[in-house]
Amino acid sequence: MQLEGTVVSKIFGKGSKSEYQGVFLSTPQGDYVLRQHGNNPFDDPELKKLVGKNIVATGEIEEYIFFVDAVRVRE
Amino acid sequence: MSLIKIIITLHQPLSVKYGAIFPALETELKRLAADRRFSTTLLYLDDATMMAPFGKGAIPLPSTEKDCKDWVDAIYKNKNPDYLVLFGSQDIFPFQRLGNPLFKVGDDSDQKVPSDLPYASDSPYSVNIADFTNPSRVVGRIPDIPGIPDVNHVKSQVDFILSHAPKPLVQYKNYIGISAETWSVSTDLSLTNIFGVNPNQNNYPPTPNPPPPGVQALTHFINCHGMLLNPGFYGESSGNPKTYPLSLHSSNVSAIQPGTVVSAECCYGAQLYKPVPLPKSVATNYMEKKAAVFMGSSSIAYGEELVNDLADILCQDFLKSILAGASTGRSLLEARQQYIFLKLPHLSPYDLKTIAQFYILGDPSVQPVLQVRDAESTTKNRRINMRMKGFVLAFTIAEAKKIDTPPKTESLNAAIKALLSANNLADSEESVFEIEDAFPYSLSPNSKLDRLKGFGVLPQTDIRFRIFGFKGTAVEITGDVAQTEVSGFRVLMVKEDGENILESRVYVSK
Repeated sequence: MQLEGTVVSKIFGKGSKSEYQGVFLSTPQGDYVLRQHGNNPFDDPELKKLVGKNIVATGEIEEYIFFVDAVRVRE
Repeated sequence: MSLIKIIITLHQPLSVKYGAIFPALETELKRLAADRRFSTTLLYLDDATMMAPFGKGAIPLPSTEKDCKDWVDAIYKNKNPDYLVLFGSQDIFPFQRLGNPLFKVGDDSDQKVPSDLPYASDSPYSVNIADFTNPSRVVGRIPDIPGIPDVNHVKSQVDFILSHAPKPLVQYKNYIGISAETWSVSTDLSLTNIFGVNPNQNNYPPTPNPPPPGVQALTHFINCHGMLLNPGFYGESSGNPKTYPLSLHSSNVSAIQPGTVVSAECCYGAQLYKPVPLPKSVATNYMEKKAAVFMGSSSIAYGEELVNDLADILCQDFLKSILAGASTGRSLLEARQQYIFLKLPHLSPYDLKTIAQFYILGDPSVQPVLQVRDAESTTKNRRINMRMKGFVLAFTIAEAKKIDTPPKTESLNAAIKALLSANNLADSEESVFEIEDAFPYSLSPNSKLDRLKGFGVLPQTDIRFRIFGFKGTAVEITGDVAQTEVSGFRVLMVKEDGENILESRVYVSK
């Protein structure tokens, strides 16, 4: 599936055992945690580089996570 | 007294999932059911013939979570098993998905808390965690792999269960601690509470790449980050910038010893997911490599950095019970009950999520450690005690009242006489206390108590304590000091249910 939105960085899981500075895709349908299979979910430099950008991403939604397969940055 | 173990699952979903290899899976289930150390029964809840003795027909298919809870309750009502084994992952036998009181998108993102807690409670079906603060049953889950029909995964677990024998405590005192650096103080506190000393804690960072040294130790305590649909656990640096190094990957688990006991505080630590395209979860691989038990969370979990609370407490109490010789299922039940007792009367939403989200993977009847505590107490006695504690947690405390000495059955009389003789108390005086009504009070004006009583699963209430040793006014006065006529003060306490001695203790005054 394809989602379009803005990549933002904010705290995930405040006070929990998975609290971290998460990378989210903010879309009109809601916010999803962005992840890539095989990468460290708490620290993915490739996703961090997208913060602040508008993107079109292809991937799959699993619960509150959007697993990204491909990203196109909109100019 | 043969202990009752009931294995429940659903035939039709299993046969669909396993297809042509279902007979091979069923062979494994039947091997498990043939374990004669227990009175073991394999029940397909969707088999009308099997369910008839429980006053239930076949469960509807597809089954709802409410159906599964109702059918489990019917089994308890009719058979009151000592161990309940749920067979299969959530695609076969569902978790009860409870409302998460902390749910908030982007923060605590778990809309539901997948839980086995309701199966361990006498309260009827509900999606409210607060309705299940009275755990009283010993329940565990032998998982298969979600979405994947892998008989070898099940066979590996069955082989372990059937061949397992408890080991000396010293072997399980060989442990490994794996912690995020930022929680190292809390982890050290937990491990010191459990083992008395703590030389084996590995903090991430700075410990280098996993697996950590000592992964072959039989006891694993893990206090790291975990993530939904991810095959690893992660550390966290204390300083800035933050780093989150991998601390344990599911592939590292291949080196563990059979019989390993795991208590993991991590978020999603015990998650079971379809391993496509992901590698298998950490918990799945531990079970495949014949861990005795994996105790962990289904969802986002909570703890403290510098002290112990929430998951820290539950996970360390679980291991304390394991090390004291409890079965894995009893260890979870004891940990849950102790936790709720500790937090009464006010359980916060964090407490509620904590008690709901942790479950065990593995056969709950497996006893990793040779018993070192409470060896005189029978399993039946412990089950009755824990059922009672569950009710106490929901309502109030049972009251034992002194009664006139009632007659004993011939066999009970003979058994007590033998105990008295063995303890040189043959001519002692007897006092009897009886629990007339375990729950004379209701704390709830809408009478949840009455609904439970109507459910008909109250533990036995005709329990008596017979105490031998009081000899009237056996006191003489010497100066200002009162002394008993006998040297020291010694009593034998027998707890019985009218037919059997459930427990006997000799107490001495200090």
